[in-house]
Amino acid sequence: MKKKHLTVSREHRCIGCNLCTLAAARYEERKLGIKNPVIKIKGAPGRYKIQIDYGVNIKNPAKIVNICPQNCFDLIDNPY
Amino acid sequence: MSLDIESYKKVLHVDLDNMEVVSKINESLWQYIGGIAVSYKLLSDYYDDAPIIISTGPLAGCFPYISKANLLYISGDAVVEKYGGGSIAPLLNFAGFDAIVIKGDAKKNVVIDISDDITIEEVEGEFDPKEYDLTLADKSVYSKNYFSFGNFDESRLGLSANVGIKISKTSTIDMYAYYDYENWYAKILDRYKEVTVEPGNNPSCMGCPMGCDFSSKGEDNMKISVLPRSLISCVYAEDIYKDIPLVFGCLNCVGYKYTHNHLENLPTLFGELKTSLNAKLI
Repeated sequence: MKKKHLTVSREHRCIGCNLCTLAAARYEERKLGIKNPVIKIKGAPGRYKIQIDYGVNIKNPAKIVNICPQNCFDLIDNPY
Repeated sequence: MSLDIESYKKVLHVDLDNMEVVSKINESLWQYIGGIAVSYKLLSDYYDDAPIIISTGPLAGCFPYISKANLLYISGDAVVEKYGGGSIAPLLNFAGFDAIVIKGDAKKNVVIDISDDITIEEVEGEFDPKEYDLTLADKSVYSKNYFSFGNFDESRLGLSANVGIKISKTSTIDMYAYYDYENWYAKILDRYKEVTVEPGNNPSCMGCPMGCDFSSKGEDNMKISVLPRSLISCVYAEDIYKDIPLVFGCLNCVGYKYTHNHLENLPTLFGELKTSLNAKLI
């Protein structure tokens, strides 16, 4: 099966809830917390930025897509 | 490094008069679980210093709708209790602290940085509240300069300058019971219909998916049960977090060894604390 990649298509919708950051730590590392996160929310209320560390292989990207209450993420096929 | 979820609580003591910060372990706080009960116990213990107490809950950031922090202090002859959201409660919990006790007053703006080393410094020049996870001033308390702790016009904090708290380094909690945790998390997330507020598109507290219209407003004068206030759930999620079996399950799957008795005895313990504190005030 072709590997899907996580992408931020609707960053402007982000409300800074950090559910994606916390979920990434849970699903990828089985830890609770936001230390060295794979997905990082930056910025301030009203203008958040979502940063994904593409150097890390995200094993469960679909779970990240599903957990976002504002539907900021999408899954895309590997373009390369 | 992982957090120790042992039978003690960790408290950060800040002395603004002498510009000192000390982290202390307090074994007598464990039975109070967190939040308002821990705040009252600390206020009772350090009553003579007239401290400002900031506390978080043991599950802050671990589950949804439970990301509030408590602010407790004495103003005049009354104990003032305020709640606010943002990032301070989960970050404080992930940094391994259960509460902050602030005593004294500073002449200049002060920054407390919770990192590998905990530092306290006076700020020369401009003080930007947006940079801090919590900013305390005489008439306002904000997290990230957006999430308010309510109205302070009638009950001022008595601070001459701003105090900014920044949490730059956190730890992680090892998941002792991953599948139990996932089960409880999904159950709570599914109970969103019991949250008595509509979901919205506003900036949300850390760990809460609602983004509701009230996220930036503090919670003043809202009388809710002791258990949700000890975990510091949002006032609109009181029905979820007063469910003792659910709270017991959540605490245990994260690694806290509380029993049903601890949870059931909490209102009695809290009542005794409140009575003894009121006696001191009179």
